[in-house]
Amino acid sequence: MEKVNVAKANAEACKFYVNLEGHEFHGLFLYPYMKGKVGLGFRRDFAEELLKENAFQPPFIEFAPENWMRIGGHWKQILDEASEKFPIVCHGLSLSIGSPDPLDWDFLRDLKLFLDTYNVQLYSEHLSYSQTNNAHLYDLLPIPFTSDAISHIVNRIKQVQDFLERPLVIENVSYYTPVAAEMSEAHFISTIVKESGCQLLLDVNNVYVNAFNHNYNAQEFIRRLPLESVAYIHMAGHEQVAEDLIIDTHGRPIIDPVFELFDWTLNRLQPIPVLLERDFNIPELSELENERLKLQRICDNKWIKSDALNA
Amino acid sequence: MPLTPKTLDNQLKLADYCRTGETQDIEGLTPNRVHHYRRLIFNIALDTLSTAFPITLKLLGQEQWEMVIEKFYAESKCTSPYVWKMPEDFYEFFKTQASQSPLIKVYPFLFDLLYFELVELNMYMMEDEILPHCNKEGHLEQDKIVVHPESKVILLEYPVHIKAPETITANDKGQYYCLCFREPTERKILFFDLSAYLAFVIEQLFQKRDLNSITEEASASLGVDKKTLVQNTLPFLENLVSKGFIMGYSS
Repeated sequence: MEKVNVAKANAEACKFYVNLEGHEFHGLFLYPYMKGKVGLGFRRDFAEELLKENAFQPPFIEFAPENWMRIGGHWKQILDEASEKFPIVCHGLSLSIGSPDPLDWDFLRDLKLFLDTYNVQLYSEHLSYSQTNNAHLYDLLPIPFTSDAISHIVNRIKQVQDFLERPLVIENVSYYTPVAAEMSEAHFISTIVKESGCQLLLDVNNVYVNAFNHNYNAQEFIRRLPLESVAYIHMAGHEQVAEDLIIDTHGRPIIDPVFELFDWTLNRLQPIPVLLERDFNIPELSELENERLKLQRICDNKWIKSDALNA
Repeated sequence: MPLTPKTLDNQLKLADYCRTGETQDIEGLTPNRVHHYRRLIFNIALDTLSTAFPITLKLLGQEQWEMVIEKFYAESKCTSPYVWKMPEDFYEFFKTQASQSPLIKVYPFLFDLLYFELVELNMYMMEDEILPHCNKEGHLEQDKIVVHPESKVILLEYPVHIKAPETITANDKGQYYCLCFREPTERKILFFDLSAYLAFVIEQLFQKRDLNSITEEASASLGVDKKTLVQNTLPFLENLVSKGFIMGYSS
């Protein structure tokens, strides 16, 4: 197993510059190091075990910044240790980019400080909303697929990117019912990505879940997305709760059809980071590592071998 | 382009339904699906609050506990982007409801119990304080004592910090002081039951005073011999040195 050397990874990092409608974002990116690598969602359930000397070493870890911001004590110590050991990617929960409420600038200030402090290489969020009338729900509600929602969200993404001085990577979410949809989900996502200049986190499991729940073709859906903007992939397990409904629980291993969709998707993408998420029913770390290695083998097979063939 | 009234209305209705469970006329829903959102969201609240208030949960039992949380979610708001701060909103909601709550009649100490559990959670999670400079060597009686800043004294009406909830009765009502302290090694929260006198001593230690001057003041107001006070106080302070609450001494 290759050991992660954060200092080396930092040294190999390149500067990135993104120019969006006159706004220039710049910073250090570990992207070259993370491209084609499969990281692991960092959870408190196994945080201490993962930090042990003899634990396996994922190439990078990802966590929700909201669970680690504004804290001290034991978990702050764990966070500091983790940041010395692993490159960090953050996947937010509370930005609520599709909310009718105004952006929470106090939260964004804290977030920016956190991302800078921990040298977070990539910050992603969900294309959903979780707050209305100043009440947080801490879950991802489906946004109506409408033109006015697109304009509203594009404007907010630009403001967030401008403030955070880094590109926002937006995830396609799983949803169990549409709400007042006036267009397809693929069109909704694609238009937001194109008009805002944000990047896309393609959650392959969410595509599978949505295709099943709403009876569409997953591959056709992926073909319609702006694949050149995909910067990151999520993979996870789910749970079928009814004959016609899957809930995106992140509580089970990834099933074979989702692996197959992942394999198919990689043919259409350049090497990017991939993440294995597991939030519930967390198994032994060795089991998670085996699942992560399976994903890594698929990536290596697609991206390293094809590079060698093209060389 | 702002959100149209129609989009806004649908978004608000969906969120309201998730919080209250009251049926809303939301456009374009797939039948028999939307309740999963309410279930998933309620489970997040249940899980967060059950983890934060395990003693209260055990006291009330699962059914009553879930009813309290449902009421909180329907009638109140979680105002923080940090889910781990939900217990604070829950406690504040309960405070506004306490006078009308039938639970308070059954468990008059419930408000204190929630507060006690909240203090433990908040102190466990709170941001690190900058530690003051101090000398490790010194004398408890003569030198100004420097205490750990990650600590506070709380005042309770019922002894929820020293008695099992099921043994507390209305007759226990009084004034109870408790020192709460995040110890520096494992960062766990320690609680020390305090007499009114020891609570006074601790409050004075927060002002960086020495025991000599504190007991002199206490002796005058309590009419107790100063030497006796010092003799009674020193073992308590020595214990606090061993726990790391007393960090050292300043000149």
